[in-house]
Amino acid sequence: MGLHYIERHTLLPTSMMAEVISLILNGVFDGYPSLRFIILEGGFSWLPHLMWRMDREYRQGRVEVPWVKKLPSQHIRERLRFSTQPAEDLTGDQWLKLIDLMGSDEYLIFSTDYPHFDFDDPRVSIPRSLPDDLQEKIFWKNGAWLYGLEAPAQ
Amino acid sequence: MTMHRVCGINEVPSNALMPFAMGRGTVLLTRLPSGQIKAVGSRCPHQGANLEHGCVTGLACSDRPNELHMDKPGQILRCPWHGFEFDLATGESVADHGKLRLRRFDVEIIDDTVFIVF
Repeated sequence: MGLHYIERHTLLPTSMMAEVISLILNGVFDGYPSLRFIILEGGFSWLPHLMWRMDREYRQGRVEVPWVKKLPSQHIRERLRFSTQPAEDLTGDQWLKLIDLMGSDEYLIFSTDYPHFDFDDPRVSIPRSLPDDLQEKIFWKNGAWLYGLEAPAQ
Repeated sequence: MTMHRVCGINEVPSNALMPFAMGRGTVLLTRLPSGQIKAVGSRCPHQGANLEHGCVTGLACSDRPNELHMDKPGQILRCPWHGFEFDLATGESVADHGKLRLRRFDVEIIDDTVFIVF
């Protein structure tokens, strides 16, 4: 996994991808229809790639895992959410492009990772240029949905 | 509408594909286990492989991880390039429920002779 810490730290998303791939292709979501996961501390910019790649693999290799009944990207949409940290210092435009590629603005949930040294400050890590409704989803609405919480009283 | 005479009804194989040249392309015929004769285009809708070299097989099914059984024998066409699976009864890709689809041709049987209607 790399001689230097910076190598291992850069590689963290690959372990998150391995977990997602394992959950889906070993039939966890087909076997447990109400089970959901949130993937923490691994970022999210890799998500469009994984959805495309898993779907392509499934189209050519479904025969090996026929207990998986849906396209992997569909399992991801229905069962997984992703914390934002590390937000990788993306610009607002880059956030919007990535969310567009994911196909929904309901998959990302803010997290700080504080007090780790590479924490995200909620005041600056989510660009203020993002639309207000999107920021609301990232900061609390998407998380509230995942955990089955009601909106706080105004 | 044009009727293309292909062959006698007993010449269409089960669990295999019979190519028939039609115009600039090729049509593949097969007999399903139900006895129905199907005709599909020979180009894979994914990346254009010649499906004449594909295999007719069954559909791997499972309700539990690591347990497999085969369903629909003789009804699934597997592309020789990337392994995409198509249901010959419907022409639809298996993995994504028809997002990709084989080109299908109408078949008519008249006096034990197979015709493709085009």
